[in-house]
Amino acid sequence: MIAPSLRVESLVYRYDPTIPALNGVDLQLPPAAFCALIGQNGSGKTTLAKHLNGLLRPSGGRVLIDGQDSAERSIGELARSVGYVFQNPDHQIFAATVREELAFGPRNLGCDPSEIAERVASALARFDLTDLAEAPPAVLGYGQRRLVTIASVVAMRTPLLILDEPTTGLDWRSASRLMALLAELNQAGHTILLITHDMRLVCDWAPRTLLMHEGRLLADGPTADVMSQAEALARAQVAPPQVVRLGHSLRLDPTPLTVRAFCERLQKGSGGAP
Amino acid sequence: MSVVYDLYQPGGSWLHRLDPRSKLVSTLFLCAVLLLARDPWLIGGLLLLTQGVLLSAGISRQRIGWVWKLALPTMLLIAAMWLLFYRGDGRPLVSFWRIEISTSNLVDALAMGLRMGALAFTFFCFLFSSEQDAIVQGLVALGLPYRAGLTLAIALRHLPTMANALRTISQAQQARGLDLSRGGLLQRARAYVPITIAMFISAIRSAERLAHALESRALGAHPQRTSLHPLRWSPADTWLMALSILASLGWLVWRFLPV
Repeated sequence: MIAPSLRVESLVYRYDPTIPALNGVDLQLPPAAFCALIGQNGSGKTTLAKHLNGLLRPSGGRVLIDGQDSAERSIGELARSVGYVFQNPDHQIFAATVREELAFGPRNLGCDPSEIAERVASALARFDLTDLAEAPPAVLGYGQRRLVTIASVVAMRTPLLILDEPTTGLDWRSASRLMALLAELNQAGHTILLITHDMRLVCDWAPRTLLMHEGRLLADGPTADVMSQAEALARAQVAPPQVVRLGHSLRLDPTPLTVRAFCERLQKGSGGAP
Repeated sequence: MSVVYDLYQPGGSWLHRLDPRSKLVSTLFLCAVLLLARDPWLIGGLLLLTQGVLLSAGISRQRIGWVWKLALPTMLLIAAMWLLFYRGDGRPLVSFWRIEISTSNLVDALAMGLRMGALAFTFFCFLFSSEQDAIVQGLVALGLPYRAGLTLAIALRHLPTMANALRTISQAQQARGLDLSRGGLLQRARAYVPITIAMFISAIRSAERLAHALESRALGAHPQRTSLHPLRWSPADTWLMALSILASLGWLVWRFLPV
């Protein structure tokens, strides 16, 4: 899998003519990146993400996927490169069975029946949904519906995968399993862009973080660096996890992002001034 | 704001201050005239009147534009259908296949299209200037059971919410490669099936959640309801009612009773 490179140049978007929802966003994602997109509600995260697969068209600036302007491609064409999992599973589910729901995307991409069957079987197995393959997805519990919608986009095997709040409504075990699956896909070469408010998840899994505030990118870099920018985080009304704040208070450098990293750091007993 | 989330636009204009009962009755009389009239000048005049009412009440141009965006395609479709499929009186101006277009066809098609827009804007004059609670109270005061009034008000309140949900669902399915622009009419209609079914599922789930939320806040627990903001009837309401009823009845007599 060779994920496309993605470049966003001076992107501006206005829902209202007077208020820009995106106000000059510049961004570059290399192939096979794993990024978290964070920021308070209304900061422009979803608006930015919807530009990457052509659901929204820029008011100014441009989005380049593998060097090609996304404005020159239809949503259907972009769906081959960019998969998008929406926040609410009920906005996506319509089929009579989970199997049909998963087959919808590959069929739209023009895959032949044997490939559709293989992709669906693989996604069902990957998300532990094989036993529910013939169940109607609309009547499943929220967590399972969430997994069905993610699996249905993963079955499209798009090189770039955008997930809007994928762990909302999932218990810790399901969320961890989902994140491990995403990390696996990333290892296989997929680019993952994760929109989330769960800072622990960001620190646990995302090597790179993009912080948005009022339609602008306030910070962009390795997660540890972004989590160290106290002023920017406060401005964006984002609080790092407690273990990160504790690391900052103890002036540990570099800042440990997880409890495990923190413990290892203490055991080593170096690099800080407690 | 590009998206209308609630039909009511808060304000203190003359229209906002009127009692919902007088506004509703006037709306119904105006609608009766619109449904019975066939003169495009009269219907067009009433459509212009609604624009004046909305602007004088401080309703934003964006909201008015939103209604136009919703109503205009339907207005054009109705006018086109009428023009093509209704056999009018008089000598045809254009004739092809089984379709004949005469002057009376053109006049009727114009009247039908304008009527659709005028009806929509008449109701939006009421809805943009009346709070949900006031609408429920008004309907109950006019004799509707409380639950029916509440259901109607909630249904109206959720129109923009549903329109937004429809847009999101359409985006979600297009993100999975659904192409709404390809193929002939039948293929395009078939492409809307995933959107329609997802919309139904989403609407039913929302309705169920809302019902639980209302019941958990004691809806129907006590038969006697009180109101935090009781309705107030002012002389302006009497004038509006009298004017709209007399004007409507006067027009009906002039139009339909033989001299």
